[in-house]
Amino acid sequence: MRVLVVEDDKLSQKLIVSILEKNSIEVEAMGSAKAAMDFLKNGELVDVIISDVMMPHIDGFMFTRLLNTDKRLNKIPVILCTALNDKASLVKGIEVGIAGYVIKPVKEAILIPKVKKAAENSPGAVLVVDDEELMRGIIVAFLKRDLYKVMTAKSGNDAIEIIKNNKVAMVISDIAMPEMDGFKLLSYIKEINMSIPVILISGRNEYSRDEIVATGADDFIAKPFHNTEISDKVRAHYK
Amino acid sequence: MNFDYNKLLETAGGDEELVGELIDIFMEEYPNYIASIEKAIQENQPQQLHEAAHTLKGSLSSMGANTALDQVIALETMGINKDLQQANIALEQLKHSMEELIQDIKTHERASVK
Repeated sequence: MRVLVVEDDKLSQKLIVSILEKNSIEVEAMGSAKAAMDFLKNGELVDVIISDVMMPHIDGFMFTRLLNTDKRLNKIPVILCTALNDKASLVKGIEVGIAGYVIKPVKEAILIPKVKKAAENSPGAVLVVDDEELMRGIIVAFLKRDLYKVMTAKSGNDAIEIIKNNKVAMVISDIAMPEMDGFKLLSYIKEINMSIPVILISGRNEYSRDEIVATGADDFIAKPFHNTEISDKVRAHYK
Repeated sequence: MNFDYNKLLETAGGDEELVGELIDIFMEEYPNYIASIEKAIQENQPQQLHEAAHTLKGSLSSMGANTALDQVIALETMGINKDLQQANIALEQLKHSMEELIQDIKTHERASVK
């Protein structure tokens, strides 16, 4: 898990970072909402954001609103932290749609469960399954450029392990793979979780779109594909 | 009370090393916080006073420095209410409490070194 901490007061920042690191959570710390936005817009991926409310220039509420206006960033859960006597903050926080609240000074026993709970709602990964390294690399590059969290598997069995142990929001899989082909993987995935969309990829003229969709796949891409085709189809199915 | 070591230790989850680091950060940062508060008052900027006082409030509550905390809350409230008439007096009181706080921290550090 990777958490972004946004806090202008260095003492409070140090405290939060120490608590998270002690719990084996990867942490990035920023001193202002501006720096945090630049960091995120640069394509960095985090599972949860912990932000102070009262910061100069852009405060925690404004920061949350800025995140909400971005199609990718609005999926990241935000936990706001504030001083005890900011009673009005709770109401305002609910209005802007935060995932949780912690009171300063932040306590480990309170923060960690909230972070773990919030992380359950963090954006899931797009899993790319292909036995060919080059093809995996191309698809991964397209997805990363579109700022998705990406995971890869080089076989159907690897893919199933990853799906069981990680938060996977959708799968893009090649059809022609040794041992377990894309169709077989598709039926396993739908057994584990019906709601994970699966896009299958095959060589041109091997299968018709209708044939593929009849197997239960959510969509189909034929090789060679254009990068916008990957972007458009992932955007259409990613939840 | 000016400096409550046990409160800070509790905040740091019983980690004495972390307490040391938090104190180091505080000692390094507090002159900047006081300077921002002073600047906001001199320039008659209530919003800046509100923000600067609020930031220092966070640190002081972690330190368990209740006297200074009350004074910085008073300054924060003046900023929120956009009424800085008493701000200079409150700032002088805050500076005095901060000096005592720093003395307490240094005394504590000397005592723990022994």
